[in-house]
This record gives sequence, C-alpha cells and structure tokens, in this order.
Amino acid sequence: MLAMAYLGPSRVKAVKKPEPRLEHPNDVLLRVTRAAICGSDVHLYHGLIPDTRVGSTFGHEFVGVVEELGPSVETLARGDRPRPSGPASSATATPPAVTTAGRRNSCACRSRTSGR
Amino acid sequence: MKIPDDMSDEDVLLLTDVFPTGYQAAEMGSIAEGDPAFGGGVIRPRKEQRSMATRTEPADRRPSSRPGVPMYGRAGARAAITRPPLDQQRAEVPVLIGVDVGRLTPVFGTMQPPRGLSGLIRRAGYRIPEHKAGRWMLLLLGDRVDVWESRLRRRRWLVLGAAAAGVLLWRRRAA
Repeated sequence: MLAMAYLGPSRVKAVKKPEPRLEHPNDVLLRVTRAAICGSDVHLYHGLIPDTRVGSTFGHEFVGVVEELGPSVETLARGDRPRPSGPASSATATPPAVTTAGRRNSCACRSRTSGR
Repeated sequence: MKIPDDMSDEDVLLLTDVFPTGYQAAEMGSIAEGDPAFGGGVIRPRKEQRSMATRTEPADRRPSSRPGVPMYGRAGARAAITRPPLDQQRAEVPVLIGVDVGRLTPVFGTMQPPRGLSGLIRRAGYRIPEHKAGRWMLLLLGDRVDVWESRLRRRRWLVLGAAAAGVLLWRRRAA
C-alpha cells in the first residue's frame, strides 16, 4: 500500500509499504476513510519529537471502518466506524507508569496506532 | 469510540479533537461555570456540529471514572482501570525497553525496529531514566544519525563507488 514515510526533519515521501496485519489478539485493522493533520504531526514532521524513526508513518486523527478483528476484541464488530486515538509508537515499550497514572493516551501497553 | 451513523467523518474529526482539547484545557485550568475565560483560535464549529457535541456523553464525565487527567491519578485513577491483563505480544523485531519499564509491555509497535549506529545510540538513551535530559538528548542524536544512515543506505552504491575511487586514486599517487 502507499503510505507517507518520514525521511528526516521537514522531509516526507509517499512510499510503498507492506499491508498492515494483526499482530496481537486485541488488534483491529481499519480502512481509513478520513484523516486529519494534528499539531503533534507537525512536531514530528519537524523532527522535534525524540525517537522519531526514519520510515515512520504519521497520523492519529482519523476515522475508519473495521475490516479485521483480533480474536480478543469484544467491543467492536466488522463494519463498525470507530474513532481511534493514540500515539503512533515505534518499536519501543512505553513505561507502565503512564497507565497507572491514568494517561492511557500516552501508553503503548494498552493501545497503539500503527501505520506501519 | 463508536461513531453514530448520522455523523460525517469530517464532523467526527473536528469534534473529537477540538472539543476534548478545549474541555481538558478548561478542566486543567480549573475554569468553572460562569468564570471569565479568554480563548483564541480560528475554528468556528457550525451550528449542527455544536448540537452534536452537546448531545454526546463524555465517557469521563464523572470524576470517579476519569482516567484521562494525570492530576487525578493519585486519588482514584488506579481503581478506575480494571481491565483484564492483556496477552503478551511476541517480539519478532528488536524492541527497546526503557530502564523505567524493565520488561516488555504486552503491546508494542513494530514499525521501525532499531538498527545501525542510531539503534545503538537509542539503546543507550533508553538506559537513562526518562526524567533525565540525557535520555532525550541521546534520542534526538539518534534521530539525526538515523537520517544520515538512511541517506547513506539509499545511496550506498554511490558511496561505495566514491570510496573505491578514492582508494584507487590514493594508491596511484602513492606509487
């Protein structure tokens, strides 16, 4: 599939990437129907967020339709229109402290948004 | 969050970003009903969008079920999070684990695994606790090195050719 890839500060490019796949029983695969650019994306674009890796795909403000579900997902069904929210995380485990402090939006332990 | 059928994608994106941000700002700023407040911005929701916002029930309306505000973390947020433990995701790529974590979290991203010199720098960064500036400085350094590494990787044949030409030139001059 075609996706945006970060190449460095103020440099992005549309590149071919592998199709996303379920990697965890709680994963959900969405077909994005509409996306927006957030202020956080601009910080990422400028290379100001530590550990922004070359090749990352930005974007976390979007709406989509559920195409595929992991076996543990109970609250969604195929065809639902959820509005996910969460940080795009690279291959890094987020400290559990953000979960215990209630900051679920900062935690990769519970959810992650991966554009691959 | 599931979306009602009668809401368009554009309305959803506007309402779920702008309004919660303003809501949290008002809450964290301890703005109460009737308080004078000043706000700036260029987004002016249409009448029907405002109507949708008012009939939407925020999931964290009751303070007892409000895990999204860090300042409430001390009092009741821990009790509010009662989910069964997640299955452990298998690590098929190297995953950096911060010293604050100490273990692999149940879910993690696998998009861009660490590699090369930038991977080593990032690995060193995650050995420093997150409240230390050194951690973030090393991660930013790793980002810049990553950019140069990827540029060299894309032009590796050009780089190797230039290096080979340089060695040949040096040998010819030495002879």
